[in-house]
This record gives sequence, C-alpha cells and structure tokens, in this order.
Amino acid sequence: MNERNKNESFSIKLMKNIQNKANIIRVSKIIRSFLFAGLILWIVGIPAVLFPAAVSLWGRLGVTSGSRYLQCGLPLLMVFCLIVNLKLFRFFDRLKNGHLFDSQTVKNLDDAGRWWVALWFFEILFYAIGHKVFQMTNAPDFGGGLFAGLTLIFVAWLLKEAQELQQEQELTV
Amino acid sequence: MPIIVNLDVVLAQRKMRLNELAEAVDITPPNLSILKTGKAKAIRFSTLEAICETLECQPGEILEFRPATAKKKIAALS
Repeated sequence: MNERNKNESFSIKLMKNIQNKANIIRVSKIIRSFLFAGLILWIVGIPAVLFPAAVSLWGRLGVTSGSRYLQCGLPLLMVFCLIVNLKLFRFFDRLKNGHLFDSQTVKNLDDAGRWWVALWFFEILFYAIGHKVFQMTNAPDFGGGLFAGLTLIFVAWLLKEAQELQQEQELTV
Repeated sequence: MPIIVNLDVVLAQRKMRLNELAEAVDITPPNLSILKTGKAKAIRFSTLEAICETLECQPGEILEFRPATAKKKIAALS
C-alpha cells in the first residue's frame, strides 16, 4: 500500500512537471513571435534610417552638424537594439524547443543582458556628447536599459545555478 | 574523485552483466553505466540497497575510499 502511494505521488509530480514544462514552452512560443516581429522591424528599419541619412550626408543637403551626428548615431543605436532583440529571440527559441536549463540557453540570456547594458552605456555616451557638443535637447529615459540588462544578467546567473543542480540530479543514480 | 566504484569488479566476480543487474535493480543501463564509470555525483540508499541485495555483497565491496587521491587533492588545493 505504501509502495502504491509512493508510486502515485511520483506520477502526480511527474505529470505536474510535464504540465509546467508545456506551459513554459507555450508562453515562450508567444514571446518568441513578438521578438521575431521586432527583429524584422529592426532589419527593415536600420536601412530605412541609414539610406536617407547617407543620401543627405552625401548631398550635404542643408545638414547641420547636430543632425549629421544624429543621423550617424541613430543607426548604431538601432544595431545595438537589433543585437539585444536577436539574443532574446535566441533565448526564447531555445525555451520553445524545450531546452530549459541548457548552457547555451543561459548564455543567450546572459549575452542579451550584457548587450542591453552596452546599449544603455552607448545611449548615455551618445546623448551626452550630443548635448554637450551639438546642443541636442532630446532627453531620453536612461534608467530602464541598465535595470533591464542587469536583471537579465542576474536571472541568467540563477538559471546557471539551476542548470548545475539539474546536472547533479541527472548524475544521481 | 576520492570515492571509487568497484561495480565492474563485483559484477565480474558474480559473472553478471551490467544489463542483467540493471534489470534486476530496476535502473536503466545508461544510469548504471554512469555509476560504473565513476561519473555519478551521488547514489541513493535505495539504489545501493537494491544493488547489494542483487549482488549479495556489502556496500564496502562496491564503494572504496582512496586516501592517497584525497591527500593529493588537498595538497593541490593548498
């Protein structure tokens, strides 16, 4: 009877684990779709910003130094955003395929966090130079990127610990 | 690792194959192979009990602690 109860509770636990994993995969699919749409937007948007900028710079069409600076810097900012988007897309893509505590999955999330911090740093630098040298008046929100990037790095660290625990569990006979 | 698993020695003495032992103790052969090759990080008491019951041996015959390996490790760490 005891053995039967043990087997039943083990089966219930197993079913719960499978259900949880299925839910994670389902949600990952949705988020991945949004990130894929974002990737397309950046891939289309970067040339869309770059081309007119190149044309006006080439033709020197009444361009001030400030707007020239903006036209050169914005595509770079967008490239950073594309990379962050790509890393997050890869992370959710691996989750969608069921690789939850995989070293590559964790690496993708960690990379996304680091690139997001790099993007924040580049933004600070870009707008600081623009404000000081070219008297730009845009005042974007600087706090969000750093917090988001650091959060991703921290979560990746937690996932790495979970991955090591899972490895140890798998090597328990 | 300081703990050495001598499962292959005991299996040879009992003239039993790994697959037969796996079936007898209700563990998959790959899992038992992890134990045999010394890659296991931990072993459950229930598994050890099942193995000892099947092979009619003591845990000490399967698991061995080698102090020399441990001492080398401690020396290397310090």
